[in-house]
Amino acid sequence: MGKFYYNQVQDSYDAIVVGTGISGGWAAKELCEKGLKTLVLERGRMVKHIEDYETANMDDWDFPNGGQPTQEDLAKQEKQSRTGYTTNAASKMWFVNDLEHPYNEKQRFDWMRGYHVGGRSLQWGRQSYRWSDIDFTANRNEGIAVDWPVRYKDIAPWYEKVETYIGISGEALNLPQLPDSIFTPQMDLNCVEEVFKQKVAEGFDGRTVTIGRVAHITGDKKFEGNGRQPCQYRNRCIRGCPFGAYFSSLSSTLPAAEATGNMTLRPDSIVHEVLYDPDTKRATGVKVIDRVTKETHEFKAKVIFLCASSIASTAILMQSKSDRFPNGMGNDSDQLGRNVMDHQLGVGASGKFDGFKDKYYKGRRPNGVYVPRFRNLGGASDMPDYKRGFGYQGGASRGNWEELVAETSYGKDLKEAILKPGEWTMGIQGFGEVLPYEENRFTLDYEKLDGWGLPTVTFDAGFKENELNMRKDMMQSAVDMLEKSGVRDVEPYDKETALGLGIHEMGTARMGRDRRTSVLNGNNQLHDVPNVYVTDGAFMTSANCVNPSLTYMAFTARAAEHAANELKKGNV
Amino acid sequence: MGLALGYTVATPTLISIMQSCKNETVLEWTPDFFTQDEGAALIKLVDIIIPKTDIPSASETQVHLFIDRFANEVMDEKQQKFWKMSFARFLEKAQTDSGEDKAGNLTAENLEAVLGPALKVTKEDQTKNFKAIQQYNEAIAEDEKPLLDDGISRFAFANNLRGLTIMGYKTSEFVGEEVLEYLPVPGVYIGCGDLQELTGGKAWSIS
Repeated sequence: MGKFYYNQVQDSYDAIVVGTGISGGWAAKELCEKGLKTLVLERGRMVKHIEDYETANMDDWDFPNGGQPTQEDLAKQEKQSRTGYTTNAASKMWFVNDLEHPYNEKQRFDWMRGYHVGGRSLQWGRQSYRWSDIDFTANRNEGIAVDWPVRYKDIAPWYEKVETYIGISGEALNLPQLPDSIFTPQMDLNCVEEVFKQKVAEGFDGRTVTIGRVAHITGDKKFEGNGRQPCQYRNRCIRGCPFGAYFSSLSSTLPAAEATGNMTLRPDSIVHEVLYDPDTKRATGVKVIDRVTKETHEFKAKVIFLCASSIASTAILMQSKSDRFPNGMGNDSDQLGRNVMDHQLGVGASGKFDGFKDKYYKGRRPNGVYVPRFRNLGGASDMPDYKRGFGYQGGASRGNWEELVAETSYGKDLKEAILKPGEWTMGIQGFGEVLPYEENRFTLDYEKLDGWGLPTVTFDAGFKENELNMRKDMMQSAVDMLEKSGVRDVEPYDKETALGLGIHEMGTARMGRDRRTSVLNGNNQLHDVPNVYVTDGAFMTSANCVNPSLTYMAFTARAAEHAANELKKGNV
Repeated sequence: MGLALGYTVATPTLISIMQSCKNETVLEWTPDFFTQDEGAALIKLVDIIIPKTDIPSASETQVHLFIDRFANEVMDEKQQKFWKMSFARFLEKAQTDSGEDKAGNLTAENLEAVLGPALKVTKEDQTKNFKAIQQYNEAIAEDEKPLLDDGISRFAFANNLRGLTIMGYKTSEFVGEEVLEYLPVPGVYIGCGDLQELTGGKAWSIS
């Protein structure tokens, strides 16, 4: 029957949560805390907090080849390695084997997946930002896609609830386009970054530089979970943190669910279909294939939460075919699989900074500078050739020994030079909004099945004019700001890239006001099957330019309360 | 020490020293990627780049093993071919100039005579070289059979070698823990502190 954790297997449950990542962990916590007997199904292997973070304390010399991936490694993770860093020795075990999890690309799509208990909440970048009404109303104001069925005031209390529970470190700025979170003390900028901040404020109207807003514990406030402690500035987060210092399902939300006594967790459980009863017009449960044994199971529940990650949750709906829903559950609108979005990056600039030769930092800060969006906010900020906007992430560091090389190309002097900190460099990379396009979509290929007999995903989505025009500005604005700050030899870059590389893939089951043009309503319920909720990135109706996980958590907590209330009222 | 593999490098007490006719000590090392002769030249080359001072040299921290393994496991086929080609051009020049036939017998002086000029290149020329190398690699990717100027090949080899030597040196356990400033768990972040106070002028070993 496979291993069930924390509870015995039951005949049926109040709720099933599919997925244990950023949103799944929150669904598990909230539903369990509201008294629902909840079965949490994760397709990947079990992971125990701290115990299973095998590389957490290793140094560079503890890995062969300084941690660089070997050709043998890359053969198994060709697509995952397109990020250029996630498949290094320290973290490769947290990203899928592409040979076991193939997908198809009509246009290049870089699909990064972490299939294990905790999901990508173990590997995420921890950057956390709220949306504003500028974002929620953009589609309506510009006549693009469909209107969001919610506004900032609906979500603000849930951002607050999430932030109070997990801890977000940052600087309050009172910017209309980037509402403040409830903050714990911010991390410091270093010397060069302080200059950058000052010069950008002086040299450009309406632009700000701040420290990144991150889900790390700073300051004295205690945060609940599994023994969470303040950040130790090791910057080894992607490996899993023995201090639980950043938010993850393993350090924070799953322990809360476990503590209620209402959670049953079954890893190695690949959910591939939601079952439908045409008489009650409700979902009744899910079908599972065991990852290891390939045995099939069915589990029953009154409420289903799909939190498997955007593409996966939508794929489950697509595979949930019935007489009522021949094109996938809840898909009368034909919007399932469409409007796939991400953030575009791989464009920016960097250069060298003279000065502060006698200054250095201590600690490896797991964070960088953040430049909030300053374009298309009205007035002089409006751009003639693209809509929406972008932010920047980046920072300064010492490590450039090549400056000294002309005089000291080898030998004693070179040796001395490389043992010193090196010269300062500073760079920033843009994160830009990608619009929803109906034709940017994925479909399922039933001719190419995976190792579990399930159809594989085929992506057909790409950047279009708005994105490409925005990119030019992303590059030039980076150059302008760095040069204004005294950075010299500024080199711009605009790398060949694709959707997916932002690792913020979202959309494909968008929420909206009208069931003819959207899949979900404003409560994250399928319009047509009210006891199915989708609260991972699939629900996103537009993408904004900020890292989305905080928003997924807030919507999930809100939807869980809705679901619990509906259950109590007997509506689902 | 860091790399416990099937390498037959012995510790100094067990070293099998073979005196060649030029009275040079030769270590017994069978590289995985390089030939025996290339390996012998490599050990000398890394120590020209990072010689022994009051701190161990590159070979003493097994950088030559690092590079051999890196070339064997991390480089893809095209990179390996380029590495071999450019190393061959480099050694050819050293052999021609010194009159020494066997690459394994080239002395440190013979090798430095080629390495020095290869690395002491103006910024302008460096840019030109990188452009030529890029064009060469692009042609290779198109399955053409391009030629690269011998001097630029030697530069490419020397430049790559220096980069790998520095990487291997700085990520070696000895240098990481005993030479650079080793602080696995900082506990704090100080953004703008005094270099001398924080590390006595040294770089942090973990980045």
